[in-house]
Amino acid sequence: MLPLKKATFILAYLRTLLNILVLLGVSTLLPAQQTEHLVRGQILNEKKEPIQGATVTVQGSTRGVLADEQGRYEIMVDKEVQLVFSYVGYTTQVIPISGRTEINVAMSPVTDAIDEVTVVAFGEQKKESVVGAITTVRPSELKVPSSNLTTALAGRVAGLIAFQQSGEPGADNADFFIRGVTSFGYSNRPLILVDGVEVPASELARLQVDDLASFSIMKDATATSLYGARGANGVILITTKEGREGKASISLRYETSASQPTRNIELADPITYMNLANESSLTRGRTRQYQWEKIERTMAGEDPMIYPATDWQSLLLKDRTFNNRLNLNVNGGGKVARYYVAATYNKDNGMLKVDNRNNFNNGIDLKTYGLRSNVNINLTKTTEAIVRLNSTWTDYTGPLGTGADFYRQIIRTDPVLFPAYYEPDAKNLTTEHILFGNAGAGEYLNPYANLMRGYRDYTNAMFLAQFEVKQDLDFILPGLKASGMYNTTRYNYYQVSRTYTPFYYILSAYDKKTGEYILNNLNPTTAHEYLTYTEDSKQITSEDYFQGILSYNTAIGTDHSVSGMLVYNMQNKISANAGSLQNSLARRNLGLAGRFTYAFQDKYFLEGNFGYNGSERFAKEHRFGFFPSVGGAWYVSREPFWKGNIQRIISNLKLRGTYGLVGNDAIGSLEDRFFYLSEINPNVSAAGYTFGSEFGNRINGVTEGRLENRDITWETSRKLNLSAEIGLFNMANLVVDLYKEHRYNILMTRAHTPNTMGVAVLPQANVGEAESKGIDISLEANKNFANGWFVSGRGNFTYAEGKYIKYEEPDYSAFPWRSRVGIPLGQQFGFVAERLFIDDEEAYNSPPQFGEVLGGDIKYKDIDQDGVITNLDMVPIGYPTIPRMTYGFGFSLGYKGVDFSSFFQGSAKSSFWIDAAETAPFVSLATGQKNQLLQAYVDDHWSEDNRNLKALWPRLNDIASTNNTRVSTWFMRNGSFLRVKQVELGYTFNETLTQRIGIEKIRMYINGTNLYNFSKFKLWDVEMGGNGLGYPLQQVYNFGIQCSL
Amino acid sequence: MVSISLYGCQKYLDVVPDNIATMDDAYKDRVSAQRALATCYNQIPRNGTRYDPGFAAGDDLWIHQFIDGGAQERWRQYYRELAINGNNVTRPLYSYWHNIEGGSSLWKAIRDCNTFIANVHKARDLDSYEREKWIAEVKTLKAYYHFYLMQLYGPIPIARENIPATAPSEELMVYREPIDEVVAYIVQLLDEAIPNLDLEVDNTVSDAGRITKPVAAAIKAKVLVTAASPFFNGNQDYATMIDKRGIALFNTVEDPNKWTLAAEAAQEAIDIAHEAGIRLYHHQTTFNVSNETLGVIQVGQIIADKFNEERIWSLSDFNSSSPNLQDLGLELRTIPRLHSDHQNIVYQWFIPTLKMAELFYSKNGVPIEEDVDYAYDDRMTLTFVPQDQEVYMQPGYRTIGLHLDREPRFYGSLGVDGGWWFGLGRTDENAQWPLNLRAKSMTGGMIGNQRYSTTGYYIKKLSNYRSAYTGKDAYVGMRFDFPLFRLADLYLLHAEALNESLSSPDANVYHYIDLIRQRAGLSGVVDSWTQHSRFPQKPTTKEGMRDIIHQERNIELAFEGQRFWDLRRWKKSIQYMNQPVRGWNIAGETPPEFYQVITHNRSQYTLRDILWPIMQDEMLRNTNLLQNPGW
Repeated sequence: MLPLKKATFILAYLRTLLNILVLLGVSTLLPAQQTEHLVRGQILNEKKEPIQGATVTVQGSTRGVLADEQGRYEIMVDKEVQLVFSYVGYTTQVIPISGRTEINVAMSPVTDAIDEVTVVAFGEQKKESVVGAITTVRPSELKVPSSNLTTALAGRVAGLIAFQQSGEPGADNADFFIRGVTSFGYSNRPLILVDGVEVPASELARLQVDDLASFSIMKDATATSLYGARGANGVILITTKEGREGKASISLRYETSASQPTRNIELADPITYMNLANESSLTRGRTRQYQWEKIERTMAGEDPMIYPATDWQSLLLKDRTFNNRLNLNVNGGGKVARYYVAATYNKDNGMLKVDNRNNFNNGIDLKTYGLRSNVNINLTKTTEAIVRLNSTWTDYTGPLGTGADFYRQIIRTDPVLFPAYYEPDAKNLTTEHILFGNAGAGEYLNPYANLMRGYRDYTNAMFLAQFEVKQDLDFILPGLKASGMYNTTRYNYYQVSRTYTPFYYILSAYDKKTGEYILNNLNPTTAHEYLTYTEDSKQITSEDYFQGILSYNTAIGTDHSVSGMLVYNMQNKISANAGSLQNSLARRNLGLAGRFTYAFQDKYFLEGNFGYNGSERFAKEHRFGFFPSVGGAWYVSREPFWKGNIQRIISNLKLRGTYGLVGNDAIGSLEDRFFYLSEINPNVSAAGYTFGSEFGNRINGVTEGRLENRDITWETSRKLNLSAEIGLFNMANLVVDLYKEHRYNILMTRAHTPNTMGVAVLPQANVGEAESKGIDISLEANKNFANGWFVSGRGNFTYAEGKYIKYEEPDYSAFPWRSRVGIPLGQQFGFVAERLFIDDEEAYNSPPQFGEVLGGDIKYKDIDQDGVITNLDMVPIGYPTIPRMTYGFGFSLGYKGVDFSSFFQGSAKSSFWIDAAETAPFVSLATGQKNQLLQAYVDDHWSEDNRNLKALWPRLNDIASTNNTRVSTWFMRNGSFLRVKQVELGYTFNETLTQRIGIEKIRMYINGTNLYNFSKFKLWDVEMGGNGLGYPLQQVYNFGIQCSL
Repeated sequence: MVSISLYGCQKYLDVVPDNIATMDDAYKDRVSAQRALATCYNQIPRNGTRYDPGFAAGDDLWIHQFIDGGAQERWRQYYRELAINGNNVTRPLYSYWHNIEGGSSLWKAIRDCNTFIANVHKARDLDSYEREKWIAEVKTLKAYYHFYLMQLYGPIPIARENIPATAPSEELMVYREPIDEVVAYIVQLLDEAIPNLDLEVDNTVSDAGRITKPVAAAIKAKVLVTAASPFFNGNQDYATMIDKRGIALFNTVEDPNKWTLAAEAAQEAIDIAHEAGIRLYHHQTTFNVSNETLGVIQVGQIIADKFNEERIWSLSDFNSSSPNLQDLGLELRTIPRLHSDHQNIVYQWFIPTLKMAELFYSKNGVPIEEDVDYAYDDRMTLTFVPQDQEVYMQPGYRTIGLHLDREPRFYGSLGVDGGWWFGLGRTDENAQWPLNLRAKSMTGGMIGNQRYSTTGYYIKKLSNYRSAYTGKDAYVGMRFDFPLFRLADLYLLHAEALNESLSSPDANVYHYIDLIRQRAGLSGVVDSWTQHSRFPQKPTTKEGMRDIIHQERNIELAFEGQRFWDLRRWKKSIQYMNQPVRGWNIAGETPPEFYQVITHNRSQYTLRDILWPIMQDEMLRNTNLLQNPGW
């Protein structure tokens, strides 16, 4: 600790010096003024500690004083002037005297405080000396009324591209990518580390914001190269809170919220459905599907048992649902030990209805629990031990299949074929089971029956136990420290389903006059009322991790400080049900990493990092990879020439740049391991042959999976990062990062291998290359006003753009538009839809397309002009589905106990495609299904009477059109949006009042999430993109109360 | 110190145990090597299934329109798609080059063969005699796979040895070789194989289906006959097929000597087959039936009596009575519904066209249009079945002339309106299943929208009369192997090759063809034509005899997956495939309504349709390939 303390001390000293200089410098420039009024007071920091050396100046003059050791000051001024309170690292405040004689000031630090430490790979560094690109957000900014942390990420963190496509409890993780996507290999996902230990995204989702001490993302080579082969896609680094010395402090938060879809898909009414179904058949030369009688009687609202008109949406879905969250934590400790203990309980309910005729609950009910205990023990004066125990577990009860399944089933079910269930006829008055409706031989989809026919439970639990020892080795060499950490992570998951087989009934006869009807059971022999039981998949994994760190940190004289660090780590992961021999083998990583830093006069910083990593996946020759990086920073604003007006405007300027390599061993799927080994299965029945006159001699055969390739190795990323940190007017802080990344050795299938090679599985090789570049910006500003108001604003912006550099593909020299080289990563290819065909004649006389093509079908452009539309006419269309741009901005303001904040989040430069096959009305995608009709298609489709060549939906068709469902520009939509992500109003009760009843602080708040969305796309929530028929995103209204004791 | 820790690191990462299966394990010992051998057999194109274009995609069959599964693979009928839409380059149907749309990758099969040949010596306990025999079997298979590809695509690349997967892309971009070289290579492989093969399998019960000397010799004869046939011998239609290197892939000058070589090879193959005890099959039955009925059921038994003495090579892996949903056995795909109990187990996927009913000879053994005693012009006229034909047809039944006075193979190959079906649970000659194919008839007619013939005919030949319907939705099949080669085929190849190589037919030409006719209950060619044909001199000329041999071949081998290939090599595909697909009006309930000819639409068949397209994607991968003309 000593060198660090020394440095802090030196800094404090320098800072005071700086303030004096500034004061003297400006005070000599201007004439003295009359002074008659004495003002005194105390200047305290946010911890209520005095700030020695804080300056107090008169606004618009050069007169000023410094605060003493107790933070006290005295100054003679005019009665009506304003005083400026400032101190480096703290937000400057301007306060009018208004005749007062005592003004006490509480200063709050600006985020980019000079002595702030920031979390870096395997340790902490003073923020000023960091050269890499690391974005740190205050965990409290990630607080949203959701039990899923990942849903809070979009737009909050510069450098993170995130979007969410489902609102289903337990399946609502947002997708996120650090600096977008730079690889077309298997994995683009960042490495997520909590307290130094890798966790899956599902675990990140379960973290409680209240428990987090820091949240950072590592973006460039210097910040990530220590993670060597695992860091190329960026790293999310999270630390949890530790106990603080003092009496136990208890904090409690309770939230209750109402949740409803941001937007529901609007379906046509049953009458329109039947009319347009008839149109869809007649317009294609087939016979009508529904007779007038049925339509008219349905319209007249006759007995729905006979003329069903089922609104499956309202039958299955609730309008809104209510969720609760509770988080409790206690922290405190003494000289020997400190603790932080937290408990969490979340309960999320889904949108699916429950029928009280069943005695089990088949609605979605997701309960998540968490328990965390971080204990720090001072074993000796120089030894600290830390034990972290964390477990999260989930209990889920829900319908068979996912919630999203039911949303999809609703879209695929005929609304007029049968009612969800029949009211009992004369014969069934005493029947106990529900008389579910069906048709044909009972093969039709009845989502209501599927919802009611059973339920599934799953539970999962993740348990992490961590032990860490930190030892000061000052007695050997001042500045030398060692630490060791061992962690084990155990995970288990199982699922059990209980189902009955529904009895399906069909209307066999009815009396038109009396309305009496007779039902016929379709499946008397196979259906049953009793429940059967299925054990579904189970997963058990265990993971061990060890790291050892040796670090050294010293100052040489007053100008030089150096540090060095070496890290050794090993990781071992096994799974109990890996599925195959090769996958049952341990997954291992092993690495040595190091960091060396040098700083001169706290102005110039140099840093070198390396990671030397091994993975079990590769052949011996390629098992280890070396990933070095270098970086430097220049604190320009600390140069002597940085003064005067420029300093007043740009109070702070730091430039930094880094360059280096990082690897990625997540190439190929998890199952595709050991590329250096051929994979064969020498005893496969399906590959064999039967001999013998009695067909009795089956000799099994050999299947060859992967071909051996010893050369396969890491995917490597070469990253360059340039950035500037700019402090403006002592009030705002701007960080701009520009980067460029070149990813090479991307594993890809050798696409040009002709079939004549005869290989069963195409060989793979590290031949792909990609490049990306982009910019991340974050801006933060804070201002406190003398009258008690405070305002703060923040915004961030991320733009990332990648492209293919080398991509093995067939020879497209004659069809250059088919090549991926040089075009954006994740680019979609599709046909260029020109318009709809005017009439049948035009369709017949145009180049042949796909299947039957008539007027009103989509006309594609014949790009290669060969007179026929084939796959060679597909061209790159639109933007990739992962947005290139994510941004967010918000502000908070407060006055006394009231605070208000809002946050907007946006996304741009992405495209998505309406799934024309899934939304095609009247089409059956599988036996027993028939697609619903979207109201949007009712409103805007081509028909023989309304030949709109730009209609949303082409000519109706009662069977799947192979022409209109192609990926094309016709169904391409802009994925851009800006949404009011969150608005919050809070009130903190007067502390002096609450403290009387023993409550330190109590705050109540209401907030809303996803309140409004600005987008041209109206069919569903645009953020869901091509997944629009799934479980909708949720709009949440939330009430919360937080109190500390 | 460093080296120790590095060693430790290596060890930590060495998670793979030593005994993990690698390619070497596939050849460790005899048992493993035998599995590798079975792998080579695994990919023989499955004649007798919807996956083999030779069987399913010709002009002899039509398909029920109901069985048109669209995108759902399970019921996809590639031959219906091919017939209606023709082939295409984006996803070619029946692609045996690319392993898609019903085809399987024969290049993979060939690669497996090459791998076997290169590695089998590693098996530690495989003696050299057996090893050489196995290599000879694999070489035969490799030759067969090349031959199959050649029949489909014409000139093809030759895969002599495997190219390593890591080879530079120039080496992967192989060229198609000229037809004559492909043929020479196939023959070379067979010549290498023949001496090392056994004459017969050691043990029928365990080894039937394995390749023997007669198999290789028969394939060789077939290859040489094909190479001598007009499509591959001096075909001017493909004169433009000259590749990048300037090499012409088709020979454009006819070489008559090829027929001589083919005739010699056929003779050699016949001799080897005879030596191995292979002879024409004659059915014996324990049931008390007339000779006529025996003659009828014998036609089917040639196919359906498993591993009978006429087999040279067959698919021992074939499951004619499979209950598997995807590929219901051949029997359940051809036989009629004869009772309401059968409603849920049969699907008529393979349905003969009217053309096939006209193909068979009259009872006098000559084409019906030539028979002086046959009322050819009245063949479509309604008439009653006379009592004297009761063994073949239901007496007094109102049918047409076409169904009367035909040779036994007609009644044995086809199920016709007014005919009988012996077996399938009814083995009393006097209580056979009657076939009444008019609409609403439970015995084979159209009821509902599936499970009936769309042309008014059924294939009788591809089922075993001893299989039985046993009750409601229950059936027990007598499983048989599907023939790839039988002796009659070889006899006919010999007759054809010899006739072509001579200036005019001699007794040797008539010899084998007459043996086949004799078994079918007909007189010899010369006698039959002299006595009954309007062209009595026909058998004496080369051209006349050619016609006779072609028709005999089409009749004898009907529905055995030969006609499709024969029409191609004879350069008759365009003529025959463009003939309208005809059948009866099965919606007709009365004889006058039923016997209306209905034409089914099939896409126009042009020169480009003969040779299969190579997928567009493959052409982009290998720019050295030359696409077949028209694609």
